[in-house]
Amino acid sequence: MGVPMRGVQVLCTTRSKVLTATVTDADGRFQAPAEGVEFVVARFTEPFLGCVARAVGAAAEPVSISIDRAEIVKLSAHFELPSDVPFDWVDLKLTPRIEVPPVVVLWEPNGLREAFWVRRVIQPTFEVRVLRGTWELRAGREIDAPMAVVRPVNLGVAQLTLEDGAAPAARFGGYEFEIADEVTVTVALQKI
Amino acid sequence: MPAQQEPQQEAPVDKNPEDGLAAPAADLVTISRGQIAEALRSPMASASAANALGASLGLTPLQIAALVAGRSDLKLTQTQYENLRRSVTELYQSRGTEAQDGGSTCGSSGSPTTTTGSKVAPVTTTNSTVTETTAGTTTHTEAVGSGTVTVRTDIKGTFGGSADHLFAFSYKGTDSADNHWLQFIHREIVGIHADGSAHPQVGSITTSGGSYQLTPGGTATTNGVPGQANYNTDTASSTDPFYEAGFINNRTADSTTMYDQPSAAVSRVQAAFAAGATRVISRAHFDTYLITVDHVVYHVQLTMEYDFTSATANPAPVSTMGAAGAATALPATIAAKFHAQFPAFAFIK
Repeated sequence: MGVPMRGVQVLCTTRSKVLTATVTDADGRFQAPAEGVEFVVARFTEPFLGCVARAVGAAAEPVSISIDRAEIVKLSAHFELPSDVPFDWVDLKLTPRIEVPPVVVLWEPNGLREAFWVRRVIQPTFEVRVLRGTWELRAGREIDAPMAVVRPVNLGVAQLTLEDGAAPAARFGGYEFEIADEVTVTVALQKI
Repeated sequence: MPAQQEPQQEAPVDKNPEDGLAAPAADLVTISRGQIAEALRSPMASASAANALGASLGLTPLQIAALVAGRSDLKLTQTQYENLRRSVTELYQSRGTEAQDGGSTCGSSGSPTTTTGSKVAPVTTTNSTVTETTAGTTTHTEAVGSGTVTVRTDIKGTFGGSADHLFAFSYKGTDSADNHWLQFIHREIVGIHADGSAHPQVGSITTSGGSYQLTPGGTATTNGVPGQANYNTDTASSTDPFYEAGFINNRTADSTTMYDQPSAAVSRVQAAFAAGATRVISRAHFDTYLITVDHVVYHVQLTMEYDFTSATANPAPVSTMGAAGAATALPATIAAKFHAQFPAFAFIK
């Protein structure tokens, strides 16, 4: 038996729609109406990132979600900038790809997040613990000022390179890759 | 229904200040070393003032020295940033009182040459940033004060860069030196999924003048309703709220014209497609006010919309003019955001 996790956001969903949201109490428990619920989705943001979906049986039996430490691995990355651009900040955006669609993973009461987790990184390297699985990474430094007399330098991802040299293709501006174990990626940024 | 985790021995990664991770994107404001250097060129700047402001932020003398020497940027939380702005304003006001027979000087770098505590100073210089190659369509003309406001859309112009769908607000009158454009923006990114459901994107937009939240609640055909957090003063300056302070504009002896064409926020649009949208609508809404000396005299609304029918589409923006007419004050929601961002301009109600 592990440590109960308090404050984990739990979504009760169909395959494509969030029906209700709640959070776990001090004992790691939650309760929600079960009618029509097909999945219970737990969204973890600390001390690790990840999203776990569990199918709900017809009898609406209790659902238990446990995370083994072995499921949590370290994602490290290094940003490479054009030589004439000093590092200032970059917005890093990570989204897990799981068996329920993004409309569930990214759900908010008033819309969808751009990404599951967004942080402004102020050093050219970062580390974060994530659950094993497929993740999408987006990154950029974007200041919205297209009509400025002196336009800011904006950056987007030119290429993401995995530790083994593989470079996943961009899909809708994001880069999906499998995280099976500790991994380091290189994110090359270019002016946009 | 328990959610459990195996015991963890190590500190959470995203709380470790050494790992390169900072607060959520919306919470940090960066003041670059260039901006710091510019501020220190101000006649109001002094070593004692820098030390006082640095100390108010909890900085050490070494850190203050690094900032003053231009060796470091300054990153602040929104709260620290607002406190700093307030402190700077108070400092300027106290020094202005000493130096200028009771007038208080506010930072105003772009259009007005000097702004006093209760009015915006006239602009007597001329400026021609934009060369129009096509004058576009005049959608509205109205007499305002002793001059005329004109609204045009789909202007083609060059300004270092170029754009084919600029809109322009002009004021022409003998008192144009006393008139300035104050614009507010809010944005929507709405993903439309295969079942027809609308999914507005939430999150923050970073601009040269501050950050703001995307407006929720919109659909393919209806606009979301903005609150204070969704508005942003549309300026390239952190000290001068007027559009002309750093965005493209032309000013002659008897007119002032501002030009704009918002981006489509393509990276956000792409993220909406990645989230399952089959169509994405990116809207930028503008509430723009003509300020004469110290008060609002006119208001015009305009929305520019990009309708992406696929992730590879490159749609032309469509401008739609909303309400326009005489005004005497900013609406409460906009005023609250404006005064929070630019407390030195609280005299503009």
